[in-house]
Amino acid sequence: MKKIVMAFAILAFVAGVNVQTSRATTKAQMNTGCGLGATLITEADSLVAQLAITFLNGLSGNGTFGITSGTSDCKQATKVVSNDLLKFVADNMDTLSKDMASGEGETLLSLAELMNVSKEARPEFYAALQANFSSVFTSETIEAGEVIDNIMTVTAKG
Amino acid sequence: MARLEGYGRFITSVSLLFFLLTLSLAKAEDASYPDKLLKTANESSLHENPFWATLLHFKPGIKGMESLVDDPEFFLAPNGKRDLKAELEATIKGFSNTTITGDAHPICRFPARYAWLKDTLNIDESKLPKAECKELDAAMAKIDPKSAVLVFSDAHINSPASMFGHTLLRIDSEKESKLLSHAANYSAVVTDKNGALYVFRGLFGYYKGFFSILPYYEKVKEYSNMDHRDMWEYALNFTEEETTRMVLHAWEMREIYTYYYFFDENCSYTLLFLLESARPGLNLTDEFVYSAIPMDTLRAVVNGKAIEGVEYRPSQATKIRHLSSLVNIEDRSTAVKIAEGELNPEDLPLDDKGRVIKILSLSTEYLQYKYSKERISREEYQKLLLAILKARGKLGKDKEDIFAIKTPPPPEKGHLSRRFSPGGGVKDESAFLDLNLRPAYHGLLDPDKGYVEGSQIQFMNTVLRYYPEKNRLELERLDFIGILSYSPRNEFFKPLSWKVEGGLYQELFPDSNDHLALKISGGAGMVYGNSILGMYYGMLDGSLKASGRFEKSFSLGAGASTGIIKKLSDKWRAHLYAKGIYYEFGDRHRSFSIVLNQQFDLSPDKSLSIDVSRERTFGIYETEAKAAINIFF
Repeated sequence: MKKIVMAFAILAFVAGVNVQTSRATTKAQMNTGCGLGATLITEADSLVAQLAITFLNGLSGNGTFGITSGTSDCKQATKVVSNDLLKFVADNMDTLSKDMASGEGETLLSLAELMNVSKEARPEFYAALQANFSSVFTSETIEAGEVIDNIMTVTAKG
Repeated sequence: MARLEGYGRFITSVSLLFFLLTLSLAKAEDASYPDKLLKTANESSLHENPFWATLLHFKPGIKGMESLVDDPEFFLAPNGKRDLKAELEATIKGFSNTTITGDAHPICRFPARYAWLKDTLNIDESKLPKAECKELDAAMAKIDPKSAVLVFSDAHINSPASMFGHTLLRIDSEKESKLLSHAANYSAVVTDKNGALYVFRGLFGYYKGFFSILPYYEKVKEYSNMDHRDMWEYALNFTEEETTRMVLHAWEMREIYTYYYFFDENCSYTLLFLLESARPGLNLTDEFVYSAIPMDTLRAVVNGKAIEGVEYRPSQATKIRHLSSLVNIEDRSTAVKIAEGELNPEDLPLDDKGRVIKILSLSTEYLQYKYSKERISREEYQKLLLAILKARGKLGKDKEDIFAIKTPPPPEKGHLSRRFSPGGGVKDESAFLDLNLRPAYHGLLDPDKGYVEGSQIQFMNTVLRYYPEKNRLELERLDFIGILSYSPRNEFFKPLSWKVEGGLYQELFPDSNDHLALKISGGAGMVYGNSILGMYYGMLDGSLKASGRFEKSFSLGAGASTGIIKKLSDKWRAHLYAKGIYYEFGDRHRSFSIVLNQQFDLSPDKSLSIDVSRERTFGIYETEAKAAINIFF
């Protein structure tokens, strides 16, 4: 047993004494800022990180029921929208932009459901968003609130 | 003084009043009611009901039956961790508690226990205090549990130990989009940044594990975008009632810690208790005594007949590989150039729309991959992403479904993780018989269906060798660990491949004999691949040997290795390699070897290994040939 522990200890030493890229730290930093690029989780690609992941599979996360984390630091929509919608757009903006540009995808479906767009109206809803992509994502630094405002503008009837 | 005394008397009379008031309130709720319930419970020995043990996570331990939950907050009785009966009594009494209000009341705090006892004991709610569980009700309304899915996240592209996978639960509501579902996840909270401590504590239970419930899309982002791990979603055949029961039990586990052990009390094992809480009689945890590999727990659920279908969610890396297989080499480099910002996406000729859509989609995924690996700045990423998507938006909907990725064999269809291999061979002039037992998990040449090609992770691989002529039994090798990650580089992915091995091995010594020595070695390098050669690699290696037989007790050196890993057919894999190490510190010597390993599949759970090697260490040559049958179980 002593030898096993020793072997692991040496190995861990090889793996780098300071796991700077550990998930714990990455996660703490991931939700900085609003808008595109803030909703993707990033992690530097290093051997140390890989070795760390190797042993620490499942060792991460925070111990809360995180069903109501806020987006209060980001710009809010000017129109009245549900918290769920704002949070979803804020948390998924990168994938949403991608799905919107291709006119289909899971985040578009989520958006339609959160905005109570009926099943029959969805194809048209998706097509309108794709055709008006540049009017929804008007700038690189756009935030969730503005995206929702723009979505409502371009999909509004009449 | 007199004033103070008067004050004291006043307080006494007020408390007395309160006491009487409480007593009368309790009376209204029938003070004898808990005793009646207790009597009924004791008459039927309800604490022996297996479902009660499930709700408390009881398992046989060193000191007899005890709960795996370590947090005292989880128990109402002081000795609840070890005493099912005491905890049942305390729980029943707790339900009629009149001093605690709101979500802290035992009825709100332990809703799964309450629901079960209410059913089993026919509890008349009107005889208990009215509990107002605002937080619980709000969470239940938000989660809106209707059905459940067991999610298994696959291997990391270049981290074989993540082949262990991770399991979590998805709780679906009535919404069509599964991204809007919730995930119930168990993980340890890591408090160290020091690598050595990190590993040690993870293995030996120094971290606290917690359940969390969070939006499912967070887990999708984590696994599919950051880790590049495919996900498998196994629909559980739980009814709405069973799913609700499970979520209520997850609520009981809220902010409750259990010490996390990498090998047994890990994410998967603990999650099984949640599944068992859904359906009384579903028994999944019993078979895991020493270790619980997520894959095996997944198999247990499949065998427990709780699964009714599986869906595959490819990761971003898989999407990139798929998209790049749809286009030619020229379009691949166009996609890379666009993602590097060297080519304007609006400048592509639009005569073949479908082709441009493929290029732009590949560009987008690759750009996000690069950003997720922190190879470009956020500003650069935002600018390029928007430019590509604007061009893509103008092309309309794609006619073909370019993301229709063929579902690979699901992980539970892969070979089982324990391997027993009887075999025999010849070393120089001496014949030998081998008994090899590998408790976990996958060898480089083992059948790769359901596993990541070019990967290996082995723990405690043990070979006992018997030489009949000398009538000698010896430990041939004991790998504490043996991890290999050979991951080919291409236009999109530039992984560093690596290997780590450590254990006790029979090593050649200057006396021309083998003796047991401790050896730890590792290496890193690059792997490339093509359809003709398979995977080929070059690596820089380091090695440390320790033994009392060395004059200086150790020998430390560096060198290089190169090899080819080739799939010769669906059932035949081979690995040919050469390695040279120059030991320059401690006892100086050189070691060269050339090895050919092969494995042929005989049936889904059996294969044949044939290995030949020639080695020169301390100037002494050694040749070995052996064959073995591998039985996966």
